[in-house]
Amino acid sequence: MRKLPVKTHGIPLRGVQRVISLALLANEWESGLQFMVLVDSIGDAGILEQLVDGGLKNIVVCVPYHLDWHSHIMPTVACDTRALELHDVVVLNLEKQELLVVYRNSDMHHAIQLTNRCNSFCLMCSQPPTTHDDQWLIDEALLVAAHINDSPSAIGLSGGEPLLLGPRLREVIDAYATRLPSTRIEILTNGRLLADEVLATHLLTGISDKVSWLVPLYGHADFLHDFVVQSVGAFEQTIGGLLTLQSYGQAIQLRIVLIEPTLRVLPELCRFIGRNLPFVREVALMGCEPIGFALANRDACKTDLADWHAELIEAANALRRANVPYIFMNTPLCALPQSLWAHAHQSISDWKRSFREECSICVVKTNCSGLFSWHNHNWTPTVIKAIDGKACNEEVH
Amino acid sequence: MKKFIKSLSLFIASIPLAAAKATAELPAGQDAVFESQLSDFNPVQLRPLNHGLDNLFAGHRSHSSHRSHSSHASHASHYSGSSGRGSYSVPAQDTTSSPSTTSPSEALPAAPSFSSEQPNKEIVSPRLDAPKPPLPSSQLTFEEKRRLQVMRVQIALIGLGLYAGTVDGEFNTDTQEALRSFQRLKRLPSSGLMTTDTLNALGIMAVQ
Repeated sequence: MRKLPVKTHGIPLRGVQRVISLALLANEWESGLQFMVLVDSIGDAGILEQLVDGGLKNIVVCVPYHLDWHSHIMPTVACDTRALELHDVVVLNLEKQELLVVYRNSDMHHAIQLTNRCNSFCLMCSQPPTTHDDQWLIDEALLVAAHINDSPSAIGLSGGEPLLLGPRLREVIDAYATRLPSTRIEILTNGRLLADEVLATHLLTGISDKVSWLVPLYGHADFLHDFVVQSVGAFEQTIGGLLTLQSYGQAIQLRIVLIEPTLRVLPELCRFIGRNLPFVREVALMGCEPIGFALANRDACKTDLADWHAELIEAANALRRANVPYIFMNTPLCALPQSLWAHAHQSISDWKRSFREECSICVVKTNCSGLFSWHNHNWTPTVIKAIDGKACNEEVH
Repeated sequence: MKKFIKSLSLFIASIPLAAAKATAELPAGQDAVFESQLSDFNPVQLRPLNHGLDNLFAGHRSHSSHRSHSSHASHASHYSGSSGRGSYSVPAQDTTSSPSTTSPSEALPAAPSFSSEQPNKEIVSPRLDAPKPPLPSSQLTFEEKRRLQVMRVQIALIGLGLYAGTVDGEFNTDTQEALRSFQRLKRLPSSGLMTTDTLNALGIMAVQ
């Protein structure tokens, strides 16, 4: 998530704001929303002050640092305004004096974090869970939905584990489905709590048909999956959850993170999926993000995908034979055998995607997922090397 | 073979669809064709911001005149006066939903509360006065839409330096006077009303 240092003045509470220009304000103003108006002149700031004086309580002014603007009545945020875009949805964190861009229209990927809590502790978790009560994130997510001024093609509801919201998850889903009518809603969940019939009924009955479920599966037997997610009983629950989703006709993407324990059983796991879970919409085979718990479990998580090409191809064949679509995510093309390139997606969110020096001469860079920007501090999914046109052709022939 | 049967059945299933499409296009004639071509273009380029029918408040003169209408209108009970739905509070929802947040079968580990002063047992949002998300404007009452429309016009007029009063959604004489001066500047009939032409000149979308 993008963060921006700010200096605030006269703003009493942490809050969600829509970034807007003075010219757009008259068209979009609503009493229930909060607006952060970008200005770059004292004159425009003066107009805003007049609006506040005239009774508008829900606007703050956002000025660049160099603008010498002081006001007694006008809540003010000073920051590098060039880093903001119109219709960004931002959260002001007053204690840390920082601003989080939680939604940006121009991004290719959108995700809203609903909680930091989780009931699994995956070996390679990129976002280690906390135990704090963070229900305020739910209220914030509802507010974010109202502040988005657009309907993107897809938005992810993520965590932590969103099912820990219980019935309130449905409240959030409904808010996004109503506010963003043409948006697909993707819920990133381990699916375990959907094995609970009461909760499942509450969540899934009459749910919007825009919803799909992104559920990880790391093994075809309980001890394999339970080891990776470090939680006894998780396999049974996730399989139960998947069958529940299927009984409600929900779209499911299974996700497999490519770390050593899963790579070792990958072909068998994919055969298991083909035989027992053929109803899933697709299987995503995902490179590991070298951050969070993955750093602590380096032995299991640090892999060179080049050593596993045979397994990757065998797994892909198993899925193809079972007619289950599959995609590779977070995997640079040089980490995959060329026969699988067609299935590789540019999946890394814009703000955390980067390339290496070697990539500058690569002929397939434009089709490549790139790397997580934190690869530079840790490890890469394979030895990154530029693909040149010649090597490309040689492998084809 | 299976694939062949599948594609064959798909083809057979699509025959009535194709036929229906053909017949539907015939009586509609050229206008429909033209319209469908129009919709391929960016509609914003081809039409004004608001058409006459978009603007619910073109003839709206003042708050008091509206009140006389609303006294016999069926939605009079929705009338919410100057406070409107300002707080957008959703009563009762909070109290019912917070205890049931954990699912019945899997109790969460007792979570330490967010701020140190808060007792552990009760889950309290740190932002007690956290604003509730507003309703989409299409779900507002007629009166609330009118107030919103007036407030947006007032905001625009302040931005132009034509109005110096309060932004309160009251269609008062100051607002009407400011509209008249704007209309004179734009060589529109200076009615002091929020006519569709005036809204278009101000660049304000009609609230619907």
